[in-house]
Amino acid sequence: MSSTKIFLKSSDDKTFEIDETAARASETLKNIIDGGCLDGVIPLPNVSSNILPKVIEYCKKHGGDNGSSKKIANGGVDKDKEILPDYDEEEDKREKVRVDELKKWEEEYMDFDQQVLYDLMLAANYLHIKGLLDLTVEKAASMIRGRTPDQIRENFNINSDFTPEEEEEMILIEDEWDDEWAFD
Amino acid sequence: MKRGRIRKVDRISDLPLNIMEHILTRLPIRDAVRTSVLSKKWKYKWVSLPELVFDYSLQDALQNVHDKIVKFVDRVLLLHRGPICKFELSDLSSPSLSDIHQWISFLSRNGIKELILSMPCSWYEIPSCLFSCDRLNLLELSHCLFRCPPKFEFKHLKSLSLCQVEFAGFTFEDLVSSCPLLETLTLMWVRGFTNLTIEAPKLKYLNLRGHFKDVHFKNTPLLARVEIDLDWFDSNVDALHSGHGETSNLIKILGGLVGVEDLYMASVGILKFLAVGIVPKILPNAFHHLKFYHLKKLRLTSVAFHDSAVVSVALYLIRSAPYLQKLEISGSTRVDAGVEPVKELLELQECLGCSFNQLQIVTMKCSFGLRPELEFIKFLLSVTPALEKMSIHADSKDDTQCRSKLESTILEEVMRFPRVSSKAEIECFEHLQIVEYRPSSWM
Repeated sequence: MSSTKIFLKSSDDKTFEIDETAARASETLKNIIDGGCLDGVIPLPNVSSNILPKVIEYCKKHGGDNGSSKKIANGGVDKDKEILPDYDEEEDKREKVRVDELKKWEEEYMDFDQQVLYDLMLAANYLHIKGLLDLTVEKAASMIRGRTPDQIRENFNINSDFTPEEEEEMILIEDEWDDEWAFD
Repeated sequence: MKRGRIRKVDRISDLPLNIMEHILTRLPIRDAVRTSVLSKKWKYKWVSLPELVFDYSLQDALQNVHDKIVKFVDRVLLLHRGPICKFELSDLSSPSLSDIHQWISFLSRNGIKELILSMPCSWYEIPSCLFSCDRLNLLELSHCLFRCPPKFEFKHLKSLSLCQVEFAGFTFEDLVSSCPLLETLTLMWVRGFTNLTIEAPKLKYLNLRGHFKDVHFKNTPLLARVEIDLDWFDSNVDALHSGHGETSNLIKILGGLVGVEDLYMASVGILKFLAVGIVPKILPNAFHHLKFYHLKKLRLTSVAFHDSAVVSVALYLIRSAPYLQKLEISGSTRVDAGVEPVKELLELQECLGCSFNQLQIVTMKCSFGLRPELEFIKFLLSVTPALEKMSIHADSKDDTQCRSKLESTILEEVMRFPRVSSKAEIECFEHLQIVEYRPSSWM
């Protein structure tokens, strides 16, 4: 595989360099490269220079595999269902080492504030980087899972715009499902 | 300053639909549904979720109370809009037949593609509306009864898993013949028949467990991975002798598996079953025409090393797979029966110039350090020029005191065996803990 350099231009006109192999982690970039319309710089009007280096960092790590490796180390559900389960012990061991290492890397990589999370999510979505989208989406999901509505609202700055009457109605409905849960 | 201001912005509520769907899909169903109370924007976000999974996550939330769960599922289905691609009910207290009937009926009109009903505590009859879910791609059922359905076809079904399912009035073969694209099949303890014929031209993966008297592969050219764990005949091998006339079991079963790449035979009796009616010594040449050119990985469990008929079937399998790379074998007995017949058999193989040229990795599990086992290891080391690693897992069962002694005994002995591969490493484990590594000459 060649290590041709690709140039990406952010929405605020800054240019970044990335290896072609790394760029292929993005389905969108891969299609542009394979489509042969590679004359100079690829403009990315939806990705700012704040977030693009972070995206490139991810692509470098996952160069080419497009995040579709068998086991995604983000604790979430791997959507790529393997039709044939693998039970090779040797390979499993190697895979485990690889996954552990990746998990550690992801932990460090994902240490940022919420605004970056949204930008990264949107960039991953736009560039079709499945692994990165899974990772960011899982982080958001983990902030909802098992939380009360008030906790969730606080986590994401969501304003409840229901009238008191509407809230009361919802409490009634929810109570039927489960006694333990209610609005505070 | 700027940071503080930005932090108060609610950006999650305005994320694109597909991202929101990703997030909600990752939540337990009850958490996803509960987001409807967050704000007006969230009220209907979950209702178009394409995957509805009702599983153990509800056990705590709804205390696994039957009525609550039924009510919850009902309400989710009532409020849901759009296609439901996946519906799963598992590990929950069993709903009534009428509930299941109603849900499947609803799903069949909503383009259901993946249906998983796995309720180990229940026993119900599959409602006939299941057969009108004609877009099904994946179907997993357990603890239920299939009764003669109306005419149907699962045109898109690729994966089928049946566990503790009983057939009445129609056969498993009828079912499979209605699934022309079937690629993955798992059968666990199905009831109602003991002779199994598998005719599935697209089948790639098969996992078979249960009681069968006979298994016949017919038209399965793509079958690449096969896992068989059947407790056919542990106790009454004699009955088998009489039951299987002239065709050898070996040809009958394995004849349909010539395309297999990864074969796992996990049951105690299967090699014995395959050995029925064959004369050990002649075997390897007698079935010359049956070759497994695609077999790369072979796993055999519970091999009785002192039984020369069983060993000859194992040898036969290995010999018939010229491209075999990995072999995993585990012993079955601590009975130290006579080693002579096996030794004789193995020596004969060597005389015949037998060589497993591609075999790279051998794992001997549950090794008890018995003579016949060691003879087998000795033989393997002498016919595997490409061997890279031989791992031996010592197992002295309950006798913990003997264990560490056992490994060193095995290792010491094995190290003395001549090896035709110059790069072969030998390791001996006590269960999973490594004891000694590589011959010293190699360091």
